[in-house]
Amino acid sequence: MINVKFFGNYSIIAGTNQLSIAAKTIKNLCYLIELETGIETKRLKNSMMFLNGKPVLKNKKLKAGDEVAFFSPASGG
Amino acid sequence: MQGYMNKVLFVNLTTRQTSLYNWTEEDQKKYLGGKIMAAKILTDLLTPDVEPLSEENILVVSTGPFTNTGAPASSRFNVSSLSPLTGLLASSNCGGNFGIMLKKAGYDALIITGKSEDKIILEITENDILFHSADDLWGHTVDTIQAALPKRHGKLVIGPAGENLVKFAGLFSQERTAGRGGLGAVLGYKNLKAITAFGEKKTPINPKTKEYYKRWIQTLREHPLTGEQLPKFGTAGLLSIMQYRKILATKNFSENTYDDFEKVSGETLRENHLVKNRGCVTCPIQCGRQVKYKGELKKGPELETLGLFGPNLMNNDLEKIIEWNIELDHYGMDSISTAGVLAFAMELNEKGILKTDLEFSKTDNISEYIRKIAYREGIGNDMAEGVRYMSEKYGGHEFAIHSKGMELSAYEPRNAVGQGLGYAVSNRGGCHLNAGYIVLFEGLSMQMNPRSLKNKAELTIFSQDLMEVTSASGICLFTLQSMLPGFILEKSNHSITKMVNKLLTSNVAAGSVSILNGLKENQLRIHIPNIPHTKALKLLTGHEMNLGKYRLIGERGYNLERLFNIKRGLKIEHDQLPKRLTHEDQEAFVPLDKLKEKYYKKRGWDSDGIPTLKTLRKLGLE
Repeated sequence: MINVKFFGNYSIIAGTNQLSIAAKTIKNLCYLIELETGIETKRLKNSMMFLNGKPVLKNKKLKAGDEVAFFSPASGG
Repeated sequence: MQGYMNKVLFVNLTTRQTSLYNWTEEDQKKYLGGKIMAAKILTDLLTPDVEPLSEENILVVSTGPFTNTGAPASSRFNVSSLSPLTGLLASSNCGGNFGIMLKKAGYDALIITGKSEDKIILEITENDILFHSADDLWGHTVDTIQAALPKRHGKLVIGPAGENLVKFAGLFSQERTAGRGGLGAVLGYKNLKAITAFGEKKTPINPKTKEYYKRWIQTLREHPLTGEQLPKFGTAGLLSIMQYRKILATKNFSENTYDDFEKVSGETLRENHLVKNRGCVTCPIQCGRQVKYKGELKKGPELETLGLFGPNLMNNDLEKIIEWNIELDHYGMDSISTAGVLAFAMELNEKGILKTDLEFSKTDNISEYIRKIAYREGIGNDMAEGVRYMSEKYGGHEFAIHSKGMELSAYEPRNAVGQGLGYAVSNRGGCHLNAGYIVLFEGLSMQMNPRSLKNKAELTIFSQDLMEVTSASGICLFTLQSMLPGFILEKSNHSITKMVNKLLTSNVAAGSVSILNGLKENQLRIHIPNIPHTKALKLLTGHEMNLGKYRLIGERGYNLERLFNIKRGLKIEHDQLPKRLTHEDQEAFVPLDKLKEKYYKKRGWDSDGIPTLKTLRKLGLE
């Protein structure tokens, strides 16, 4: 299972901060998240995201126990 | 000029004489208002030998042309003076209703000098300037003094910390704070507990401006940062991304991630504590938080308070942070500096340098120490002087987290080296905003290479100048966030965004930003939709304004403040960060010397960090 974390606006849209989903790649994971939460695959794929704490800039293979975090745009000061 | 009340009030507290200060239309055009106006006034009136806590020191409260005109997020006003914390010029911006009321009373700014023999309150109305006794109100906390003053008046007050000359005491208007630099102590020294302002005057504006404001407000509401993230999470929404970017100050900046970050994040604050938003008057963003505390609605913590009283103290108890935040507001102290001095004292204790019962992760005595600092009791008396003083007295320079004597904000800069440069060269000291806040590009909103040195000096300068002038215009800096296109922010992994991120650290980008920074007043006579401020100012005042002119006023302000500080004895060795953040024997560090060298050159300063005559001529400051 992949441990999915939602931050910012994604946590509101998804209605949760965390999900467990079985997925093989980032792309596949985004599609499965859409089925679960309604957040569009395209939107998720283009998000700021991190795989096991490191920024992800393209599709990657996933293995059980990985953590993928999705962030909506954030700022402040 | 339209947008202004065209009167500046000068008050001498020693003699209780008041007069109008000569501030011409040319001055308005050249210095705009707010912090730049204040820097000019302080440059003209203060001699370099004046002490911050003295009768001679001057405090300027100034608004901008946008204040009280219905522009979005335009309740902002500025307080500037010689800082008791840094000994240099401090400017601190505030969002309460005092600025609006000062203009309604008929004044763009207020200049205060002298020292009252008695404890007093200054009342400013359209027809009168009155001095009232504050004997019965001295000692009141910020909330009780505000409640005791006339309801309809705008108020600017200090709490016990200001009275006790705590070097990081703030000034408060409603629930907002001019927190940085210890300017509350300047008022405390002058025996001025509060200033109130009331009037019903309107600021003259061109009627066409209102239509433009409506469109501007709509733009802010539709932008992913000002329309979505800030209203929903406030600034607290940044804490989680700071964790993932490894820039979250933890354990007195010795680390940059905190395992328990989710317990004190903006998401948790929203989920478990948020009751409603509450922002400044006139603001469509409403980033302020209202939380329930002991059955009452209270102001919730901002990002800086969450970060510095959370991970930086190794504390995962959010309710405690809410409680301390309320206490800090009652006593009237800056949360950033207070947390900084607590973290420093914890590390001094941990290392056996100064034995106290302050320990990382220990939370049951923090309230007591906050009170001890506010009332200067026991070791609180030393802590009330700030981290720099503590390190000079007890040691620990390499982990004394300050720049120019001002404690750093919650962004740990080893993985955001441009932000590190900004902290070091900032006129105010260790402030994230005066630093230029390019951490926004280095990881918060964009994904520019955070450790690359390319374009960091150039972008820092551009951002510092733009923020300087925006602050001076009387509007919130958050309105600048619409500068970043929503498309880029929402599609962080889109090929175009990736290209932009890569381009940001290219020679082409550095060269382009450098050209922008070097433009003269009559160049770049354009407006761009992402920075509506320039067109709005032109409509509002009826005088020429464009992007080039706007940026140049910011550059003028930044250089004016630098010159002021140089006259006060500032040297390049003061543009510094603690060794913990700069020493090269670690995975990530701020290569400060290299960055500074580039920064000075690109600023048009010599190798001693002094603006050259050519630069001063360009800015009309020779």
